[in-house]
Amino acid sequence: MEEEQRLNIKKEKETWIDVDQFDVVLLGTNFIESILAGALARAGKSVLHLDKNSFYGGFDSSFTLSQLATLLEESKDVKDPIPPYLSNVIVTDNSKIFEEEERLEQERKDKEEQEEQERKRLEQEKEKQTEQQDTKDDETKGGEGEESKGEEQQQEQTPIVKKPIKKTLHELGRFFSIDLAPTLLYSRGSMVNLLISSSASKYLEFKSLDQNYLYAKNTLYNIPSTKGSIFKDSTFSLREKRLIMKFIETIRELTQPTENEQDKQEQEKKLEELNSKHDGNFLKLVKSFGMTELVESFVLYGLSLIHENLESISLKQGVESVQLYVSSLLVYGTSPFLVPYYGCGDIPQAFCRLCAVYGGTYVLQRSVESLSFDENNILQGIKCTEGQPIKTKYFIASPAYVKTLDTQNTYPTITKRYSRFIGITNKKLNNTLEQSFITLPPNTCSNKNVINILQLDSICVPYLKGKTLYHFTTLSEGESTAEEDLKSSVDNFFANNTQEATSTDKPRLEWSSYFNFTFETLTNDIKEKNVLNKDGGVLVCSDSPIGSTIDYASQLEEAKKLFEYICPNEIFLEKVPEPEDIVWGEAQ
Amino acid sequence: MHGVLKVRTTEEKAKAARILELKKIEEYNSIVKKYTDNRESEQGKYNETSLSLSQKVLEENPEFYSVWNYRKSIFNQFKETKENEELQKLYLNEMKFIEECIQRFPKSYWIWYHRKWISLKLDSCDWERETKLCSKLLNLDLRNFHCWSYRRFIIQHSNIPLEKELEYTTTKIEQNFSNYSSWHQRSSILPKIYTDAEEFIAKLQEEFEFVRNATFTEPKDSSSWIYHKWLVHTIKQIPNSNYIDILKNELEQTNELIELEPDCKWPILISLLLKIEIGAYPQDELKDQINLLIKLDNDHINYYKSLFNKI
Amino acid sequence: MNNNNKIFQFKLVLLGEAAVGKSSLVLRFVRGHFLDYQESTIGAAFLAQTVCLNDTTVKFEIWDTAGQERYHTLAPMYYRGAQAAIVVYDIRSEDSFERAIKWVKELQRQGSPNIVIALAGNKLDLAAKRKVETAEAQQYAEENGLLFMETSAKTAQNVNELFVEIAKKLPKTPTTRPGSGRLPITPIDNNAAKKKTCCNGN
Repeated sequence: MEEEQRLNIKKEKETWIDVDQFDVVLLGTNFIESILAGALARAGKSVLHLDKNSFYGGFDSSFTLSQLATLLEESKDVKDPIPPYLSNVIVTDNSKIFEEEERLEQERKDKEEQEEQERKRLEQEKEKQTEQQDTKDDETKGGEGEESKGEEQQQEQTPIVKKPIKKTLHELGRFFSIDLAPTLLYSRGSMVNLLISSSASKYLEFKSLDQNYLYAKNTLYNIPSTKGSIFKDSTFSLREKRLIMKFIETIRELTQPTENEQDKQEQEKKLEELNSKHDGNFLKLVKSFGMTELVESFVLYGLSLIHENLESISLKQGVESVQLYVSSLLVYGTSPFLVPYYGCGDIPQAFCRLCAVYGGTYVLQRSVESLSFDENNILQGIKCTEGQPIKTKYFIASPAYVKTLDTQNTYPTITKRYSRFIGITNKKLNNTLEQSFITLPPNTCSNKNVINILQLDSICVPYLKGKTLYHFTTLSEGESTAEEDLKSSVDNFFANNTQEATSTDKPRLEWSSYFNFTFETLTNDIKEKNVLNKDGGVLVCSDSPIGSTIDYASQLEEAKKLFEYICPNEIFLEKVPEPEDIVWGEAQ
Repeated sequence: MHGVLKVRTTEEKAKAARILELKKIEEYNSIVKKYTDNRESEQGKYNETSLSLSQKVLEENPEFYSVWNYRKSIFNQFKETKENEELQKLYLNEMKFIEECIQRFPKSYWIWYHRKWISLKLDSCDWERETKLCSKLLNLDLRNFHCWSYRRFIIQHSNIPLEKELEYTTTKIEQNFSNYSSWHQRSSILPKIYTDAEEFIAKLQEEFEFVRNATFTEPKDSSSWIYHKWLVHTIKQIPNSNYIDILKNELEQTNELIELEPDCKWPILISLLLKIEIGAYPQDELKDQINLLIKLDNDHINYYKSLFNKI
Repeated sequence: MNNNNKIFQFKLVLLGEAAVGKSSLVLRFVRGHFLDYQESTIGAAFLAQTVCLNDTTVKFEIWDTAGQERYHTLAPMYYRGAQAAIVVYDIRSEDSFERAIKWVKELQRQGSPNIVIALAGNKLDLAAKRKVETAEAQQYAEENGLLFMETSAKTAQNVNELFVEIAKKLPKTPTTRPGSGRLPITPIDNNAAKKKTCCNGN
């Protein structure tokens, strides 16, 4: 009886959530929301995390080729979009043309081969006939032996091998994990540290980036940074080697972690000195070492990897950035970076799982219809798109949602725009290692801002061999479209047709797309105000998928700040104990 | 509060670990007892049982050196009593066993010594494989001098070309030049390869360039300077070489480095020694340099003072 | 210390409706525990346990759903690389069995093509209230190439046996992981800054 009752109620509200009260409701499973959800659940809060999509991550997810193509197509139709959105989309699909070319070429080759074999066979026939004539003449000689020789010759004909049908790019497309906003993780960066301490790293797999390059004077330069790579690198003179090492040593001295109070004070003192000497400006510090322009580029664009506002980088920020780079070397590989094996979209998934493990509830394909406040403008709860009311103290979402749902309050944000290019080629760039990162300083290929290029080869599937995925990213200014910002550099590296590819030996673009990515972020100074105003428990988090630095430092900072507001004095993603140490009641 | 884990405390963990440890100690003691009982009994000496019991002891504690010696005695006995084919099989098994032990204890004298002993007893030892084993271990720890010494042992007894070993040192140095062992290995091989005086001089000049990359990249690292000293010493020994010119060039380069790093003792010391070698430098200049060294590196004051006698 | 045993590691995922006893099964297998009123397992989403076969050792990396199956929100990463799966249903509930069948289909769709699937009819200790006949489930399992066992996490009946059967069926090829250089992150200690090279005897 009890069982039946249970089943009936279930069928009635099959889509409703069992519980209708939570401490926190989050809408959207992008990075910041997911990390925050994990942290809140770990700290003991009851969490409901919704997402209107049928998948995790929103724009921070990783897509297959067809999913990406659909996403880009759909964005073309949106009128008056609100961030985050994609715009100025151009997609070029030459894969079919090239596949057709290759098919015809293969047919031609097969035909030639067949003709060649036919020719050979006829020749052998002829030989055999003349031989048989000879044996007839010399019947005393071992006739049997020679006849069997003729048979052997016939058997030597190579059988026509059936070649396996090559898969088309679109068939292979489902093996790609393409990010709209890809990034690298520093091996000793805050994100990796967090993944390890929260043990979310157990859900993920990574690989080490193979090499980091600088592109200057039409050449790809290895960014040297370890003692060994500087030692080996013949591009530098002896003097330059010393100067680069000196620079790195200076940075190390300033930032070496130490428990010793005296050492700490010395470090601070040194930093002070340098700050006043160079007006707190990182660029000035770099120039003071008297390195050549090329080597300076390595440091500014290869080691510090802050791709915005180079002139205004503070000395402290630049120094910390270089230190992060250098300390991340040789941890998992020769480069300081890790790349998630299945795309960056794994990261929100991992934190969502962490949240679920600590009791969080996940519902996809569900959004929030409205928010309800009491007379004093304190948040009471939300109403789901299924109509179900949920009581909650906090509602967290990105600006787009919050601005639509809460029209009473204002949420000041700024809009950022990036120009992006995604391309798939038939091979990787010459003289590069498989997983590579290339920085183009400003004015290398008529680019105003730094362009970051990420090259990822056929990741996990053997028959993707050769197909290489490229991401170009640059900050967009004003109204410039992605094509305007990136076409020169794209054309510099790739060929658009087979002829060009053969004559220049460049990789050939099989599929490519340009698009602009616009999103909203909380401005630095207003971030504090937003949280402090505590607008009835509604908290906004940026959709900032591309930070001004590589890695997720800014996203993490924001997640932490929001967490601290909701759970003051609690540890953010406290270290998870080893499974062996967890006690689950007494043994039976 | 919702969702809080109960976790074992450090005391509880330590207690559990201690219990485990005591159990292990008990197990080990019983294994050792079996072995010693067998060894002392008359029937037990030098047979398969003694082999397997001693193996059990070594699996737990490869540093128990008398057990290794005991095994040698067993093998010596087997040599008298067994056919060569069977003996070779036993040797190969022994090599496998030693390898397992080395992986866990890569720096034990006894294990390496035993391996050398057995490897020479094999009819044909796979020296290539031995080299690979060393390379694997050196990848984990570049400074494992047992490995390096074993590599020299391999070179002595095998046909592996010296050039290959030289290449290996190059690779290792490129990976991390702050390693005395790789440079040392290089210094022991070069004279063996370059027996012709002229070729040797040319090679040494290349080596001067090679090590210069290291000294400029990291002037504080002593291993590259020590190699430099060896180069100077070696080139001096070659009869009819124009070594003075070469040393003069080295002096110039070293002085450039001093310009960049005026507070680093090594280039100053080496420049001083070069000047002494070349001769014809004013006493005062040399004395000033020694005093500078004493100032920069007071720890070695006695050594520097002794240099006063050389100038 | 016997180094002759080869160790093979496999990812195993659990599937099944809420409250059929998935977590209890795992807890019983990994810890030998059973808790009568266990609320949805907190913090137990990732456990490991080994099974010794004759000359091989099979290590299971067991993933629990963490409740994400409830509203059909299992992330793709859950299925990814899973070489084995246990789909659990409650023998007292036909609903849960139907749902289990759906999960099997989902696995056949999303999981890797050679995944070893086991169907487990749990709560055998409550067989008095049985609604799903053994024969019916057995037939379904045979038709679909699944392993099948009825288990009780409470009494431990057939729990170990289930995992052993799965261990036996899994292909013992040295894990040829596609694409070199996959790094699971393990915590860094001060000395272990180097990636360990694999010293398996060749």
